[in-house]
Amino acid sequence: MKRFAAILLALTLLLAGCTVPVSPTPTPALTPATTSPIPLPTSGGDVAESNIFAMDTVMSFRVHGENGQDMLALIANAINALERELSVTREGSDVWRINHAGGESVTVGEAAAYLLSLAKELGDSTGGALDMTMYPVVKAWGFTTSEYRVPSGSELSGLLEHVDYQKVETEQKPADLGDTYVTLPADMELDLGSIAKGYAGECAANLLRENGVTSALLNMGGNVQSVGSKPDGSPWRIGIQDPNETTGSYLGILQLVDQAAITSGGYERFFEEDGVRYWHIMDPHTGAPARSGLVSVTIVGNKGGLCDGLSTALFVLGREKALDYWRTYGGFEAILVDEDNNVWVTGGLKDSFALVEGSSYTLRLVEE
Amino acid sequence: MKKKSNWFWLAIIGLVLVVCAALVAFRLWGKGGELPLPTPTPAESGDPVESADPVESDAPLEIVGPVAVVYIGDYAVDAVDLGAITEAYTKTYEGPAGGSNTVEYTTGDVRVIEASCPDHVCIGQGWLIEDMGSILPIACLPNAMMINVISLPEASESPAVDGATQ
Repeated sequence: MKRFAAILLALTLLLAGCTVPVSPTPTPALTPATTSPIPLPTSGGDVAESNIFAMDTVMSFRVHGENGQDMLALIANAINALERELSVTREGSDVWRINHAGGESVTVGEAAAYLLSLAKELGDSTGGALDMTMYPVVKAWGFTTSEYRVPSGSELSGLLEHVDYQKVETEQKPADLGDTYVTLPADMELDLGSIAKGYAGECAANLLRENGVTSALLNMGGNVQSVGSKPDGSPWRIGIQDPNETTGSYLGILQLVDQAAITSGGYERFFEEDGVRYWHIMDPHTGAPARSGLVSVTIVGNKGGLCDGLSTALFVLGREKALDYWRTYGGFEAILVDEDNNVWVTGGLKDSFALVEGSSYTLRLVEE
Repeated sequence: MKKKSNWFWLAIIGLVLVVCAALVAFRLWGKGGELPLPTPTPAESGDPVESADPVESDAPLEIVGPVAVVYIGDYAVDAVDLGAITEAYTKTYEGPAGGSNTVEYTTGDVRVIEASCPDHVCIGQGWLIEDMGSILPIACLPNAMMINVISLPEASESPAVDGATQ
């Protein structure tokens, strides 16, 4: 029996040795993309580009000017650090600790503290159209795993009893140098995913500005954050996804300078069952995909985190309430696409947004 | 004792078969006209060609372009000169979690045609250049796979857009 075991062991070792060269993802001598992406300078001199996987998406960065590679590494590190704090699935993250504290209070870092307060403000100002405690409902629909299903009405109403962002308690204790304490009832779960990506773009852009970068374009998985303008001084030209066409078809072109442009649409993630389309943007009041008559909402503004949250919340609110919100609060601009192919554009984008030529959409400018 | 030696020979035969399979697979693998990877540092800064760009001097083989780069996680695992493809072919990439994506290369473009993940977003993205305009990469998050096109100096006419929302 000993000999048999020895042969098996030898075989295992040999086999292990054999499989290396045929492995489809040979690791030897390859370059980690995050630290040193294969240097692929595009034309026109000082530009550095890289792609990273972070926050469950692919991010593409382009930085013009000197030290581009250093700048790319800087923002990749910052975004990875944010993900470690904000991920709902990563064990030990601030959000994970809040969800697993069993109702006890936990201290969180600055990023989580800021986003919790932002999520609360957005919840308050939109009448609960954005609710950071919707995570259990989103899970029930399978949007966290892609194993989609339509939960029953009673299951949803049961889950909604555990959804209420107002039960998230935060407290700052000056004696602890301003540490933020967060308490969440044990039967609830929260997720900052609806604002984290936009916030990550905002932070990365600020980091670049602090380091003297005057021209950069950050694509945070379909959300765009710009720093300054193009190197020649002209605005960035951003294609706004056509919600009724395949990825890469644009509804119109937005000219963007130093701001974020963030789109939420039912087409981003959805499944179909019995001829009905169910998408990932949930109405916290029904626990079901938001059906407000809008098919996509793009928010343009200075603060990526805010824009990200608003793109979801205004999608849930629908056109009229969304425009009321814009009139009341301001501080951002919006492009709303409805089911009847109308594109409602707020006044501030009058000169910077245009439909593509020959568009089948109708542009409707909204003044104050 | 007799039983053991039966096992022994079975195991040996199994081993031989696996090695053969491995060798065949390895040979097949090397085919296909892919660009050598990694291509990070220009090794010889040969005769300065009329192109002022330093990257080009790296290549003794002529790159037609565009060049697609396939990433698995943080690693670039493949670089394919799409312009140099004479006959369409497919290739399967395995992700770190065991899932896979089958990629189709044709002259001048690339797309994902099969994926082990449930949502098939990567397949829905279509052709990287024709459908995506190569502004955004094709990506399969469950398998941590991503394909993008790297720009070559010639391809410098300003694009219709610089970025896009999704």
